[in-house]
Amino acid sequence: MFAYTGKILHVDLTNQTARIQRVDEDFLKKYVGGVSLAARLAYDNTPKGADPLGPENALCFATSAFGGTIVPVGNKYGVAAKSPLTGFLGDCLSTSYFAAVIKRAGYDGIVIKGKAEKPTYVFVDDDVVQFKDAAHLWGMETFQTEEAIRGEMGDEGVRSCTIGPAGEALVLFANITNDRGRQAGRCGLGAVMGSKLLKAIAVRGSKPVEVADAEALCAMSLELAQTAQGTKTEKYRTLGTPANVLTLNRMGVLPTRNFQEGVFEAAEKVSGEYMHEHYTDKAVACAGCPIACEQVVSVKDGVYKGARTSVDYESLFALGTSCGLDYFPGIIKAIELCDRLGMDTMSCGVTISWAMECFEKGILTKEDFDGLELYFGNHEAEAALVEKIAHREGIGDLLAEGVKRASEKVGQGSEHFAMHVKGLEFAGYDPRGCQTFALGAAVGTRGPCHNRSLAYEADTHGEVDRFSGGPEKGQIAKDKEEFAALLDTLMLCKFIRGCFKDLYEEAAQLYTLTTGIEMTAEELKEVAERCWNLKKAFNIREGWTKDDDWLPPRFLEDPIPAGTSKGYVVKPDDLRVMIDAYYEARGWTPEGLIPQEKLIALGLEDLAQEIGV
Amino acid sequence: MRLPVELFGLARRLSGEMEVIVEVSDEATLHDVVVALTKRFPAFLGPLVVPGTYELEEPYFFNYDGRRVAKSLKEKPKEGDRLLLFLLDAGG
Amino acid sequence: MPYQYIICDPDKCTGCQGCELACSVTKHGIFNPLLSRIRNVRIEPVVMLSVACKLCEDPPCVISCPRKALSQDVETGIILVDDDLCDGCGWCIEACDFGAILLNPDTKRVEICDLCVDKDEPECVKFCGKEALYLATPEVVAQRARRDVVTRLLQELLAS
Repeated sequence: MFAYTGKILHVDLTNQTARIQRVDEDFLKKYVGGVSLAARLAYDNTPKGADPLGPENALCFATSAFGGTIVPVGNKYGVAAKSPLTGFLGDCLSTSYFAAVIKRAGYDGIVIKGKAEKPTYVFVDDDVVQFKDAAHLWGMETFQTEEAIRGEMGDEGVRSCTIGPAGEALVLFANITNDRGRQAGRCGLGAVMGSKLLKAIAVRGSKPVEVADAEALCAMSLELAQTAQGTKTEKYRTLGTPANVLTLNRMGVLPTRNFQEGVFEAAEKVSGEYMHEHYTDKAVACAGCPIACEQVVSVKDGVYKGARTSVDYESLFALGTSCGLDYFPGIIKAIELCDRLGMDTMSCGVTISWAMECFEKGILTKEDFDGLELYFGNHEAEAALVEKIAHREGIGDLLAEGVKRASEKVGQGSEHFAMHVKGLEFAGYDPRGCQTFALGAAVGTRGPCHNRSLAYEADTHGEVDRFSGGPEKGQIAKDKEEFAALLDTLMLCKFIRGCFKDLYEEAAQLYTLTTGIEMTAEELKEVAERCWNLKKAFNIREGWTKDDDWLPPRFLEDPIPAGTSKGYVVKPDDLRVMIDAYYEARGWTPEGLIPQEKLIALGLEDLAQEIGV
Repeated sequence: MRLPVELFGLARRLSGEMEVIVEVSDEATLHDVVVALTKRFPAFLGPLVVPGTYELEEPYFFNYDGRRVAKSLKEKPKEGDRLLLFLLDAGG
Repeated sequence: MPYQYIICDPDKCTGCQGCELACSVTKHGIFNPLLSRIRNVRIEPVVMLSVACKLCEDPPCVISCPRKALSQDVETGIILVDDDLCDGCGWCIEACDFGAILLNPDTKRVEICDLCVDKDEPECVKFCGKEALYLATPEVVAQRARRDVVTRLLQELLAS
């Protein structure tokens, strides 16, 4: 076998045992890797109705054919489990060295089940799996843990994914961190690890990765890497994704003060351009990445002097514009805290935004917030609140449940502006002015995710009229989803997508050169469609109904008050039409369920039996 | 006609301006606007504007007042239009 | 005649470690950083630099070898390893100040950067997308630094 190892490592924390599941090339060609393989492992290893924070929930890591090779931006891993935040499939991707060492240790995937008796970390040292005491690590921050393990092992080649205090406290949007600044961010997979008393997974891999045609692969990789230095990735390399702030603001869809508005009066002061001028130290890369998009920024003076982290657009909007912050160092500080404590910046920020609106409307008071005056823009209160949430202290305990549960508990009309779908907090594009994304957000299997959907591209690039919802958007949303799913499966970073002339053809070529397995563009399209249906099947098994595909009331009832997108809402009738058209484009029933024939045609016969109609 | 052009990202960095007024003929196309901008800011040539053809490099495009994306540089802006030299390759 | 060796510019290096993969696939046909003769050091979050053999004058590795398995090519300055004499003791690794020698666990012989003499240019340099790696003599390295600082200092004069 080339590039793949054919082995999935199964770890049982309860009994402290490990075993190998062998998989063949047919299986690997079907699921390829990444999110798709992780979803398959989750489907197979987590029983229906499992408690997401219980021992039966399987935490499934999957690498890809390209992991550990010279294919640019190919060192990524997918990780999936039943999400404690949504109750549906939480599929994440992260990147960099941790992905490469899993492959070099000899595995295409790792499945973790059970629950340890006490804080533990698992050390995978090529073929040897050890269960190590983590009492001295419990309570440590994410990167701190990684460094401590490396120090213990005396080998910087040991890479780890870790949880911080937030994962330990079972914050429902706690994340998994690796290589300092990379996260499997959303859906609370950090809480899944925390519920297993699993502080970290450390891996050392010394084995070589061999590909089918090294010479041809290197030539193609070199060309791709060189294109990636050019204009197609300029935005990522210089400003990074924060370049979105001013453009989305100008379009009137920049989430401001909990999505009350689409224009932020202080957008210039929290823009990518401003960040680049005042705070950016350097752009660094993931393992094997020629682009280097990670913008490391730091605060040189003022009350947050010394704060240092990486800033991306989604973190910027959630903890910044959505919270009304016009003071960039305050945003950097909040992001840094989330990173160190191990929490999803997006969910945290949107939950805090909700809390701020509750404060300003008098639904929650200063007393509820333990003395914090949580008005929009109060960066000090925000930083204090982030710490409270990570430790479930005071009001932090309520907010750690995420905005859906928090608003259900508090009531008093606060559900109207709890900005989530299926329990996962919203991404940084106001759907009232990006109505293809309105659809993509409503139907996304893990929630309103820009990354899995990519539907907002149709809106921002003028492929469609972004101000209205129509049936043609059904097919568009489906096509965008599958494009994303393909990249998440192969795995290739989405930032390189502009560097291909024909992604499907070239990706199929790269895959064949790497694995020696013949793959065509058509087959890759099928892999992507299979992946999406697999994720959907997991959700159906866990009780999804079409009522779960909708949008929060604010988007349907409150028109955007000002700016280029002034006056627009997502009309419920339009949303219904779009969702129906999407189900049809997907070949699903009007109820959004999957016909048996469809599943069988995709080679998912076992799923056809279990959930097909 | 005089057309206001708002500049973002690289365009802003290379020109040092957030917004400029471009002077073009009444029959001018967006392509002519690019030529006029490049004349004024030669630094655009290469990173932002393709030398020779004066097409815009990939992630950059024109947007009318944040509402409507220009489908091609052959389009003719009207007096009173407000142009945005946009980039949005998204994600993140 | 001063030797050319591989230099890494820390301002340009992004820590991607692609150089390690380029080297191991060139020398061994597989991808494994442990078999790369150039290694990247990454101290989070912004310190990154790749290190390969510096072709020292009076190389400590050559001097230290108990079996005289190492020698320095007079023309190119690269360190040559006699596989028949080398027995993998690793003494040269301890002697090298730069950690630029690797011990191949399969062959039990050491390997040292040879600037890809059999190719047009070193593969790591070829693969470095940021052009952080380059081949240069000490004089050229110093030249670049001087030019860089003068250019920055006298920007206004250059612009006029």
